[in-house]
Amino acid sequence: MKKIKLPKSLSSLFNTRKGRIYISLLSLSLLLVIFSGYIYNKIFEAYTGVTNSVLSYENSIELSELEFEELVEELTREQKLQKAGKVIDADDNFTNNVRTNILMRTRSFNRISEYKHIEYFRKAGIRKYDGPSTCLQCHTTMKVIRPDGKIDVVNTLDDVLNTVHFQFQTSSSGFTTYGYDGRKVNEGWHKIPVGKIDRACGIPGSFSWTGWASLIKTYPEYHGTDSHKTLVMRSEGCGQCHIGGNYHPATEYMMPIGDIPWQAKEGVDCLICHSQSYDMNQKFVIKDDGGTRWNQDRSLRAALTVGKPRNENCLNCHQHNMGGDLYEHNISAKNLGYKNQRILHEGAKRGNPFSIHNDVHYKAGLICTDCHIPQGHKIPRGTKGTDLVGNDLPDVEVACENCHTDAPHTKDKKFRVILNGHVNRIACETCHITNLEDRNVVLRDWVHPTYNSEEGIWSPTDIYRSGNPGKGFTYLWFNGNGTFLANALGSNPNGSKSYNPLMNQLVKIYDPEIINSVRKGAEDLKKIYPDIDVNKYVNRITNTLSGLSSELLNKRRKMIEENIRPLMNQGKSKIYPFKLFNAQMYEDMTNQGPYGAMILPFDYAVYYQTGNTTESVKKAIANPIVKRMYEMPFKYYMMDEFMYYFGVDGWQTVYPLKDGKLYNVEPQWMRQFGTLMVNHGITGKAHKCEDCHSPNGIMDFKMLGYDSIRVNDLQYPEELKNFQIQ
Amino acid sequence: MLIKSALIIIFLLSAILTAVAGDNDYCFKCHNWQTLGLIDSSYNRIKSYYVNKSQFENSNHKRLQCVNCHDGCFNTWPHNSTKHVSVSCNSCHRKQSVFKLYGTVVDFDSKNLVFEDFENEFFKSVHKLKFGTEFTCFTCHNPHSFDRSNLNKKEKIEHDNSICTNCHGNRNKEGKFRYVNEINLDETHNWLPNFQVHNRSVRCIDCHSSKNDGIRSHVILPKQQAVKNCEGCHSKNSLLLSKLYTHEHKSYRRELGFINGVLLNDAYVIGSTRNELLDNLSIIFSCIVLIAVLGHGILRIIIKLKSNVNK
Repeated sequence: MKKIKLPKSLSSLFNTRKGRIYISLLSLSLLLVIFSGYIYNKIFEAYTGVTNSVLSYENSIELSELEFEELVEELTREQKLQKAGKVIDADDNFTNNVRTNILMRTRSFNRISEYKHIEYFRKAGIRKYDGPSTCLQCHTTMKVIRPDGKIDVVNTLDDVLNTVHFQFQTSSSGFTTYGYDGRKVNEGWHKIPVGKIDRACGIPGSFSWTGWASLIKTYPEYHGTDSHKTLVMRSEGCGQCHIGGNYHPATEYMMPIGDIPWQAKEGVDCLICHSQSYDMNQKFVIKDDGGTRWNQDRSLRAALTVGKPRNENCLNCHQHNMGGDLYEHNISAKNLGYKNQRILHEGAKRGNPFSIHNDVHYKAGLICTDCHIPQGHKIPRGTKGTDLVGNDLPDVEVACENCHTDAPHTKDKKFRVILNGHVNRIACETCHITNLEDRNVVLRDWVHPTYNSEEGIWSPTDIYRSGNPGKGFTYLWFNGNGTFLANALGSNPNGSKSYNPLMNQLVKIYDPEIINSVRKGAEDLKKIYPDIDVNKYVNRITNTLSGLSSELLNKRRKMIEENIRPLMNQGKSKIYPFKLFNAQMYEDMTNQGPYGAMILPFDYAVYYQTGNTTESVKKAIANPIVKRMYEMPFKYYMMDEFMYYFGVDGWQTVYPLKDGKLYNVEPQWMRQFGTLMVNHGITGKAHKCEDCHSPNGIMDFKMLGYDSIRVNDLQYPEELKNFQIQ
Repeated sequence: MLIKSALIIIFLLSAILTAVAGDNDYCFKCHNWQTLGLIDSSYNRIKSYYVNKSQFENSNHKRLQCVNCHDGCFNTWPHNSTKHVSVSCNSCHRKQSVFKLYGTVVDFDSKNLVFEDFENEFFKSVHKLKFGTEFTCFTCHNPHSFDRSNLNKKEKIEHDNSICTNCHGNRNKEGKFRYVNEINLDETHNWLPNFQVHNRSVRCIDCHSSKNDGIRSHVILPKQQAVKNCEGCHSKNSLLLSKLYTHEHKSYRRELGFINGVLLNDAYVIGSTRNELLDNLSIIFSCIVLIAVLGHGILRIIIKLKSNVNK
């Protein structure tokens, strides 16, 4: 061993074998610690197949001084004209115009502007919007006022990144959902990341990972000639409603450790919530070296008009699931993109629109945050819900009673007291949401798409859509909690045992009109897919339990009585309206239980372009993350627990693709209807007494668990006659 | 049997009511709804028309019909408000009033159910003087759930205190007299050691009502005149004998017998319920025991030493 001349103390360290090994290990671990972020990210990328690179935006342009002032002039012209109009009122029109012109060039008059950031940007010399870094220059921290009056100072970027809007998931407790095994989601020690990011649902047909940002090649009939249609690129994906602009959702937050890379943090879109002039035509999918991602509006024009979020900001994304894309007052659906236009979804998720035309609160000038009172960037959704959506502030109430008290009726002297009496058993929404949009989707078949020649895409077939009470949406007892598959939990306060929606109204369709529509839909589909057995098709929809073997059926009955019944009897139940939904998807039958099997996603590009559903599933499950899902680490980390909530005894890591063919995968409708809350689109003109209190009312009292005497009482109430007398 | 000079039989039923009303279930069909009510003209409070059926059926008035007290025309809805006449307590609870109820005759005087004295006292109390007609019997006492005679002592204290704290101690509640809710009882009573223990053991009115007028505690005094000296209760002639324990001794004596009534009652007030004789006896006995133990010990040592010396 070569000996180096050193003072005695260090000699033993560098000159002995042991010492040198020791030193090298120490320096290696030091290097690991220093570069851990980088190393971890590389490992993560390899494991999950995600990519990260620097995000750039074409519309983020630097303006010259002149251009800046021109932009300011344009943005403030409207306001200034209005202000001028208040002080200029000569009789002569010509004089007025001359005077207005002078005022518009006056210095102090120009400083009057609602957009405070114009002055801030001008003084700070900001002539280009670079994304969050521009905002964070001044807004590094922000003050947050808590409900008890305390003021916290938080790091703005962290505050945004740790919200459900960014993460699309949460691993903390605070869900209002219970698994079919009777446990509340994430209430125990083993918490799993759940939310939109990994929710398999038949409405979007895909997980967030597999359907994030896709470019779809379409050949619509109105383009080009009959023989040679021209290509029109369209955009689709869950990422369109995400406040980040990365190539993939924030999967990093699903892991127990690790943070998203700095490139992804630069992708946060502050402007979509804060700008009063955000251009939704900039929201389309772009393809670059890193892959596909969603574009954003990063123009200075959008950045100059920032302020507190208004209704338009929220509705940019949220009107899609409320009124729907084809709702006539959906503004963002009228701005689909300068290129690669976003695909419009014809069926509506909830069909309860929020606009000045359909909602009394909007009409009264309220904004979303008047009820959904945020703390910083954390926004509450209320303490009641049936779907597995994460909640930033699970303890904060968002309820009608907060403002309207328990005695909300005041106008009609005859009925107001007795209506207030109803508040104890009936939720406000039950009477004050009389109808949903007609395009409210109830039944969606992803397995048999129909070609839409106008758009040039294959789209899932909506077998039944309805916004009518008793058809598109129904009434159920609800105590605030739902099951893992969005079934409302609640019980009849009279303690009736016959109320069992998971074996009755959520698994059978009795209404002949609906059954006829379903039959017609099946017959139409048979023209495209001759293999369809119409009777079997109709039976699977109108009697969803027919998809279960008798063994699973018995297990289901037992689980409901043991696990679900106590949850139904918890708390205080009221009658709420619920939108119904079922979908046919491909399911991995290796992982099945009494409530259904693991739903598999579709790849949007293959689906829309070819309509070949099996190929679409194969492509989607080839996504590395899905592959990881079917491996041991994920099984123990997450999937087993996920399956317990699903009512299945653990996750089988049998990958459903073998030799290029789907293995043990079948098309299945869900074994029960999902129920989603509807809370918006509140009407002043509510249901009348007779709408429910009559023999053919919209509410099925027998199904709600009332005995026949009481049903008779409710359908023919004496009081109703007497109310008419006076 | 004493023969009263005038028997006043009170019937508050009109012919229509007997035909229509029938029995209480008919009223409870709607009035058992918890949220039956209307926001009142102050916009801050809800005027509730709810009567808790199970509470009513356990209350002192459980044998009554709704229509005995609530006169009016009930065969149309909503009930025309000008016709509803609710009685006040004194319509029945007064001297020489005898209530004939389904054959049973209830003589109010002998049953201690005459409330005229209460009313007279109440007129002198701070609430009446301050609020006038706004303050009635019903502001504190709910006739639909009044069941005080069924409660044991601890429950009675809780019940009586909750009447006061309904307005005076509960910051979150929107009381009718809202501004009094600004009081923090712990702060205003911080001169009193162990306020919470006092709260559980005596009633607000035991300190806050007049010491001189009668024994019925409805003369509630302004706060400056409340009892503030400890010896008032914690002494032999405790004030509580004329307040909280007024009826105690009679009832204990009745239930447990004369001597047991004294020995076995659960009335305990530091400094008041001491028995000098027992105290002295116990001290003497303790001393005797101490002397005996020490003495025995010393004697054993002496004898041991002596036996050692002998050896």
